[in-house]
Amino acid sequence: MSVNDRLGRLLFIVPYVAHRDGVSLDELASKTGVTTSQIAADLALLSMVGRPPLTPDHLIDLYVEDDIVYVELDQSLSRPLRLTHEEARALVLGAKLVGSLGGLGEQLQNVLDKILKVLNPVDREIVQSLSERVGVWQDSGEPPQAVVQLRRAVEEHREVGIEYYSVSSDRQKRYRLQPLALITHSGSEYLVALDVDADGHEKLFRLDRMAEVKILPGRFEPPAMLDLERFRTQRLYFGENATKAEVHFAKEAARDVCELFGDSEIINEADGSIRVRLSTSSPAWLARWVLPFGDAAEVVGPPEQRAYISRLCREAALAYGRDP
Amino acid sequence: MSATRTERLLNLLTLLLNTRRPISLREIREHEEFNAYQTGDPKSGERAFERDKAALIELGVPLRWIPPEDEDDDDGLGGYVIDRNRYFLPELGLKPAELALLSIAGAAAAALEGFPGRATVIRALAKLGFDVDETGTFASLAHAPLRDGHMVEQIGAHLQILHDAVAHRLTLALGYRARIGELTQRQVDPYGLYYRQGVWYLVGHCHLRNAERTFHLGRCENVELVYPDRRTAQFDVPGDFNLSAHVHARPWEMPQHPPFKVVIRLAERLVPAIVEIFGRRAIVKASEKGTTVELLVSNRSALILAVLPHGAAAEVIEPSDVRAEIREVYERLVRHYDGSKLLRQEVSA
Repeated sequence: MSVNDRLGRLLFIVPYVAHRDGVSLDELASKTGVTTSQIAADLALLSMVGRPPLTPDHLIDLYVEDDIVYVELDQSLSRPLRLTHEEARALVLGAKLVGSLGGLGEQLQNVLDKILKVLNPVDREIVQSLSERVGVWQDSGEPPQAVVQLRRAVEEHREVGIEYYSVSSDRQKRYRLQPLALITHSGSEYLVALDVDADGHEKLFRLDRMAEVKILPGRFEPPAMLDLERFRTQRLYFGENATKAEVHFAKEAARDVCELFGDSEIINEADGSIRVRLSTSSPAWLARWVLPFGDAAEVVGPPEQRAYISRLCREAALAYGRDP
Repeated sequence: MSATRTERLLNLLTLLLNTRRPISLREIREHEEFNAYQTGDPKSGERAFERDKAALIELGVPLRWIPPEDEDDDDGLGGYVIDRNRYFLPELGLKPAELALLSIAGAAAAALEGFPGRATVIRALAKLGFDVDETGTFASLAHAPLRDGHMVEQIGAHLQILHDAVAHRLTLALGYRARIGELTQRQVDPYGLYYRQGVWYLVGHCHLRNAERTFHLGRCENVELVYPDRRTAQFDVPGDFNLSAHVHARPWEMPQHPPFKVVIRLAERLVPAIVEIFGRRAIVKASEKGTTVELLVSNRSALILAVLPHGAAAEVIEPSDVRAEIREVYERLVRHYDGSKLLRQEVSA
């Protein structure tokens, strides 16, 4: 915890509780991101401070009854401290990570503009200038109509039909989906949806692999609980059928590979080359990661993945050998 | 911070917040709650007070010193006040849905791996939710994981320093190990910071190379402020600096030579993924013969690496020299996997 984290929290707790007719310990813990026992310690400290000299009428008067906190005397801590530029900056950074998401980024920017207006001029200038100098990669430009339609479908619980390029099967497919949420992960946007023609199985679809989106007449009842936090993991993006492939990289590629596949199992060979065991959802997916290394990379196994890449290269060499 | 100091800071803040007139350090010292300022050595007590004052200011408390010439100042010492109008968060009139949007952004920043600003984000969201009793919901989430999973703590800590340095225009000292080369110590004026597919990059003026350079955070071994005690801007960002050109450029758009046009024929199955593979600047042309995309390429080798994974499904048809080079790469790969004999047999057939 940084020097001022606790003090900042204490200066929030007093007005927050005073402003309401009692607040539970759980709510305070959730609002401030700490445990209830930390809140209890904070309340114990707050009950001893106030306006010197610390006679009873000068102390912050608070008490806890049945796990509900009450503040009777706030000693002028009636509203939270104004937002600092560090706090506004952190939100700007978060907004950059959200990206456009079918117009969501634009709405978010409008809210941030509202917040920036109440910062003092110096802080506002710092935050605005920082906003221009922190970026997150996304394809620039207006979100395409398809993405705006998807957001509408998510909000109105409408079924959609999409044309989609599936990397795992390396083919174009048509899907009928019940769209549940839009996600930005590593700067790419995804749709979380139930695949109606696959028994309502939940799947992820990259928005930039969709050719066509049509809102269908059908409406659906979304699941009561949708836990989006589980998408804060890389594993889900490999799909359920992830397998391990082993790839040999020549010495000259080793450094880049270690950066790219840092979480994978890496075996160092005596000649400076490396062998990497990495998760892959399909041979086509593996080709995307391995072929940019040219002949500095060779898939060792499993045999079907090696055969796929070998075939892809052979067909390409033949195609490039003909007149275009 | 010790509980005693936290207690003292709260007492000091409450004292100043409840007083309309400036209060001198002498008056503050008279209260037994501030015996930390009443040390045998007066300088030591003053230093303790200065440290507390700095902590309050760092937290955003608008604490000011009013000079002694002010006519309301009885003892001619000057005093301290908190500007109440600037202390309290004004009502922002945020709607529940707007707070929900901010929560998505806040959660994305708080979830940055290793980023120590989590408490700051939580505090910001709590403050902004002060007047909003209900929070709306948006079925959305944003997440920016780091590719260098084993270095998250270090990168997160560096990110905090860089974020601060970019905001305040503070010169940095970096220990940087370039992709090819030894570790070098550099001073860098940080112009901008961006995230791209799991990696954070810093763009700035490198004093060692006397030129603008981009630094991969995963390759920074140490990141420090050159002048940690100075908070005033130490350089100007050039007027023509455009972070967007760095953030949004595709690898084949990174300038290495004058741009030239490349035409790529696509298999129909790849058409839905044109934006993913080639971005929104690609010019798409559909005809009876099929679909092509045209790109403006200023980095030939990056373009070749970008098309290789797609094989014959994304075939460069112009210019011929790029086409010939790609053919050579595939032929080498075939020799790798199948042996050159097999390739010759199929070509002759």
